[in-house]
Amino acid sequence: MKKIKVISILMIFAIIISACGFSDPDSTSDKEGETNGYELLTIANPADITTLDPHNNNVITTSAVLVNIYNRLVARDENGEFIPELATEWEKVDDTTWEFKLNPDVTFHNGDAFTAEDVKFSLERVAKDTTLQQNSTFRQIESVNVLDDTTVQIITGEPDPQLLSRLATPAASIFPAAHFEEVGAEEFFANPVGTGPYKYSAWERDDQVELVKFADYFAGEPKWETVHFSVVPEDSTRVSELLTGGIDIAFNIPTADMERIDENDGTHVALAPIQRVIQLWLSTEEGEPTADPKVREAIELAIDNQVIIDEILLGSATPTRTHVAPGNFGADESLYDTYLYDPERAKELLAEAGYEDGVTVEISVNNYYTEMAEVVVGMLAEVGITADIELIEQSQFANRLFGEDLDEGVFVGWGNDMFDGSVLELFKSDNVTSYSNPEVDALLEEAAYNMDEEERADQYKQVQQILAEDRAVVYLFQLEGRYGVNDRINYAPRLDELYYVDEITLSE
Amino acid sequence: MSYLKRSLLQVIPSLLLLTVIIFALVYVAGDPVSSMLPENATSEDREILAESLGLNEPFYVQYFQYLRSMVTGDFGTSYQYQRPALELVLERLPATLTLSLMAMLIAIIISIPLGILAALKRNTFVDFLVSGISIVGKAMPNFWIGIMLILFLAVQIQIFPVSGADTPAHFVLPAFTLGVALAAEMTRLVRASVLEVIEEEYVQTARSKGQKESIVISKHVFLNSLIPVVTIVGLQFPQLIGGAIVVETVFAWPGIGRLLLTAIETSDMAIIQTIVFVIAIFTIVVNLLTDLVYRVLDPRIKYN
Repeated sequence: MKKIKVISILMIFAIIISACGFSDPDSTSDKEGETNGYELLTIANPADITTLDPHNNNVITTSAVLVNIYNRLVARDENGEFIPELATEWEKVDDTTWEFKLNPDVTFHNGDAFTAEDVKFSLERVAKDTTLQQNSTFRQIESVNVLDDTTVQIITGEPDPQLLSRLATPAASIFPAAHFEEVGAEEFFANPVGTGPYKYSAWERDDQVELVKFADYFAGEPKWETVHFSVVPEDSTRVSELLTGGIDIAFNIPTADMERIDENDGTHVALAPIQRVIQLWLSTEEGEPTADPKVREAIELAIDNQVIIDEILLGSATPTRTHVAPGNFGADESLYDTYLYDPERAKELLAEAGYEDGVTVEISVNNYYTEMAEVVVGMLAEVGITADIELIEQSQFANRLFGEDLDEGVFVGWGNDMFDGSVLELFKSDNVTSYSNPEVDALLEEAAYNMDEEERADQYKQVQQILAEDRAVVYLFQLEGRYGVNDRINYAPRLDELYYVDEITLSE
Repeated sequence: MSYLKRSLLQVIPSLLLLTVIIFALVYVAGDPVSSMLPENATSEDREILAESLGLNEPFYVQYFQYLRSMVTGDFGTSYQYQRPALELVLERLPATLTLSLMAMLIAIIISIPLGILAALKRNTFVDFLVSGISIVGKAMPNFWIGIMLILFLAVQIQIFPVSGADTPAHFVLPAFTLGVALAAEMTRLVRASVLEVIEEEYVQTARSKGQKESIVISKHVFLNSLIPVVTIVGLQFPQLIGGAIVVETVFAWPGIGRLLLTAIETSDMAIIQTIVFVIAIFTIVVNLLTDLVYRVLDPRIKYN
């Protein structure tokens, strides 16, 4: 009798403990041993997705999830080359007309067949509705004409050499027209339907997005049964989750934790260049000390890019003198993976400019890049330039940037969603930088509508050379994405920072 | 009842003033257009979007539009999520409330026995130890406690899960982190309050009647020393929700604190306004409740 009592008490304890989840954290990996291991993939991001509507989003971490639900006509491979997705082939009919042949064997998650009507509906939605955040990227599309079920023509208002780049952004995702129109936008995005390899299952806000395998995916059965994109905002918590096996991939790990993750048994760090280039814009406006080209040159020569990369980023960046890195259209590779550093010459230049006794420059920076900017300040001080930093919180920074209300130096990290030299349009006369050069304006204007690829690439290269000479911007380096990865999987991060879940495989 | 009614009526002007302040602050903080558009957008694109969102109207027009829709329960739509702000906030409110209540519970469980103990053992080693611990507890920032707890109890010795909100075990670390500072504050308060009550004449009388010390403490000292403690609990509750912003971020807890933080980063006005408003309502309700609890604890307290 006594024994039974003891056993039942012990059992009650056991139930309470297991209900409380105090179980061995390794027990989940035991379960995976019984199957093929492709049950669950968990990827942790610092921020939640903001929407399930790719037409109304400009956040990469959101796109990185949505590309698994929806497809576009074309996509980019890991090197940035165009590859077919829903379109099988395409050709330019004339300067403003493009024809796309569509894959006839594609079905949406709800069973609807994919046709040309869906392409027309989706692209015209994002091109016409001015309230959508991606409208500005697609306003060039005048109309989409359906020739037959598997052929569409896209008509642009002006010749648009970037049309394929636009169509390859996650924002050009295709929705099922009939279903969308039947249920309306609100209902559609509460239960989104695409053609992608994974179906939407649930979105617990600020917690996780769950996707499940779409077995009828047109390009073959996807690998993973379930994918969780979970949200862990605090860096050290994300790293802890990775170390304890709670997640497979931790995005954006702090440099300080890289060594720890590599040394830990069962995890490693994966690095890959991303599109973000850290740069210091220098005002060329009359009256500012930086209006003198010699001062700008001195600033470039005073900064030792590699030291910042080694000390702050532990090597996870590449020095550059251009924004258009390899993998982007029009990249001038002679300006990539190089930098100029000559503090003695910098001092001479300052003396020539009449600043033997030093000069003061004010630099605006947002909270993301404060640490880097402070190192730059130290380097500038070495040659006699006193840089005062104005630290501005990110949302304010964006407003003041577009209001052209920042200091003569602006320390920013800038991406390049279009993978194109057109990112240099930042330096057109009427844009957010104060720089104005008629030659650059002319080149950029021509390149924007130039349908001759070779000539267009050459125009962007010329702009890069002029900017490297004029130094209205001093480029520092191209960042690398830092991912903590569980050893059980193979994961090669991409330049575009998107997660194509099916590219992620189990290690042998 | 009439007291309750009057208090509720007094709330209205406060709320109205609050809406003006919230709206003005967010208005001054700037428009969300920059964070909504892609980097390569032109100033023309910005103009088109601002127009579509009605952001070009003058301040007072925008304010009255805001007020009018708020009365009908429409707190505006979040730019980031493209959903009604109130819906988003209410969706996450339970997670934050649960966390805050757990933290409060932990604080009460820790502080009341410790506070009484310190008071009874006044000026002994026990008293100094408890006071010392509570000073340390109050001084430690909760993001630091959270990260340390994760490192020791989730990574080194894997007793608790690192983050998330799935099982009861997930509650322990965040609720403890959030509760520590409050527990420290309350321990000191309970100690002081007990010390004060213990000197009262009715306690002396009880003792001189020859009542057992344990009964004196539990019957006469404890209940009477609770009044200031209830006050501090009431006052601390909104602060607890404030602390939840940090704790929720550290432990990836899906509550309104995280929502607020993202909203501030992206100038998502509707969400900021709604959350501040909801917290204000909570503060008012908790204050009313505190008053009512006084009357239960000490029937002599009357409001006219």
